[in-house]
Amino acid sequence: MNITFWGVRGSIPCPGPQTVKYGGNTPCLEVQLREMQRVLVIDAGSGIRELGNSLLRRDIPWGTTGVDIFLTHTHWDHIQGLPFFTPIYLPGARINIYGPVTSEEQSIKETLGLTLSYRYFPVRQDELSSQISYIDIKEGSFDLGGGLQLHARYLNHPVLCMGYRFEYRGKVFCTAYDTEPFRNLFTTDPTHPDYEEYLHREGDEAAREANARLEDFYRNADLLVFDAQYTRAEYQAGKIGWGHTAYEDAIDTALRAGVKQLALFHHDPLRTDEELDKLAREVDRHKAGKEIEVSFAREGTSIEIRP
Amino acid sequence: MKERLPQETKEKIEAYIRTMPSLSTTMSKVMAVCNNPLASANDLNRVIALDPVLTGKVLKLINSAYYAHGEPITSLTRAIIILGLNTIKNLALSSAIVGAMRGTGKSSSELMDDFWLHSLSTGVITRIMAVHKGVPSQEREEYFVAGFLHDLGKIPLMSLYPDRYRELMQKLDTEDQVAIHHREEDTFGVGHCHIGTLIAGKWHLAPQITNAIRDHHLAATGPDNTDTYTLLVAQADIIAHGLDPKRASMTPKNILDDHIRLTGIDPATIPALSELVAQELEKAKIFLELN
Repeated sequence: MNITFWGVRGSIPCPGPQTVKYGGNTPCLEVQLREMQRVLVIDAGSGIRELGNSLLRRDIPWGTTGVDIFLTHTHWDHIQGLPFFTPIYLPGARINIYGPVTSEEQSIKETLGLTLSYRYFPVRQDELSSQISYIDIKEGSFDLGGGLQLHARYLNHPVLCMGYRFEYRGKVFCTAYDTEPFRNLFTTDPTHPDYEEYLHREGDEAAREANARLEDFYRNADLLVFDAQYTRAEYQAGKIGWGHTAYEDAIDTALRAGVKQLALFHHDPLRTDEELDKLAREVDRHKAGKEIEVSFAREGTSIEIRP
Repeated sequence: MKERLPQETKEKIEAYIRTMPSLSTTMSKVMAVCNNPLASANDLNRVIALDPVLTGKVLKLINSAYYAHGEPITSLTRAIIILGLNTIKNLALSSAIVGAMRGTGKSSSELMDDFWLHSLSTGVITRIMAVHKGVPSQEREEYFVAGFLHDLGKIPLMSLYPDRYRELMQKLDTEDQVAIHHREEDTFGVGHCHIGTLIAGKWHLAPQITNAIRDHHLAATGPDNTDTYTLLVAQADIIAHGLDPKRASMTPKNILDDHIRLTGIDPATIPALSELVAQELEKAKIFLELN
């Protein structure tokens, strides 16, 4: 498996002199499985535009296997590049778009269709020339053929958001964004007028179990791409509940899950190259010699997971 | 549904279940809490835990085919932690809005207020009895939910046919009190236990809650292996009617004795039961600003 970062930025594209090194495009990953001639795409942030152009220059079996796109969720920064992914206009090209339904049970096709209407874009969903299949995905395990297995789990974000775990020839690649650690949402202060002991206890237990369930999902991944939008200080100073993780917590989680390589991802749009370089040095201090490879993901770079 | 149920009634009930609104009794508080960006998880939990439809719908979502939990989740607290505040608020608000758009006639609204009081009383009593029986603390909320949701199947009948339902209630005698589902079957072709079971199936409610919804009128005469949830809910249902000034005179003593024999719990031995229930109801009314 070869994973390429086409967009690593969270929230909004932020091109400019201060984001040249790590990149300003919003999330898009490419997973190449060369033996199978298959390309998987995770998310359709603004990074997918360049990926589309790259795919058109390559020898892709458009009419047969085509390309699979897995959307983690449908917040703007994860879908805004889709109308500029040129292959969707390629007549006969097969494109499968997988994604979670909303909590109101609106399908991925309907949700995307809202954005591909004349008031937002000059081409309607029905006018796309490629052969697009929309597949609602739920928690569970799926056989994608050729020995490729997919496992899907909901993460913790203000909308239903999917983490993906791909297993191929004994190797594991996993995504965990956008997410933040589950926590007890109920008051735990016994002096608070709304305090209820059973909510305190049950809430603590539910959060612990939900976090453990996700750690199992990341277990022994060869590469884990994890939300790391904040530092712990930023997270605790007003970002709790926004659905993103502090890089220190991402590292601690990956260590507990026995992950081999961690790519910190979904950088805050305000984070400059200089700041990310500085945080990269902090990362080494935080992991304190433990056996894990950690880096902040950079647009345009690739990581090879060898069988 | 039963064959003697007219097709038109069946279709109306099934359509109602598909977009079932929250209760008129809780509607304004639901909207106030969900529209307040500063509302806490405790507030949200409280308002949902006071509406059997919202409680059921949250459990429906967490246990839907989209999640891959091993066992069905029966705890509202857990569902709120896993689903998050946004999703819960969204769900609650949309259910309340459906109710507000449909509007509620005076007749239906009064029936629903009585229904709400009885559901809450039954939930509270079921929980008190579970405590009395030594049920571990982490399971007590499930007992409350089973009691609170036991009459869910009455909601479509009361909402769609308020005048006929009110008439049916007025004609009940002592014997009918424990066999109200038979009178419903005579009137509508289907009873609330059957409709409740249909809803429980569509909402993926846990088996113990579904059993209580389906069998709470059969527990006293049912098979020996009837589960504890159903037995406690059935007895709590009778006790709740006994505590209701409008219905107390209609609770037959022999039925209560049957339940005491089955559960081994004599409500007379639970200290201050009626006071505890009254306190819970009063707290709920204050929270919902119903007084």
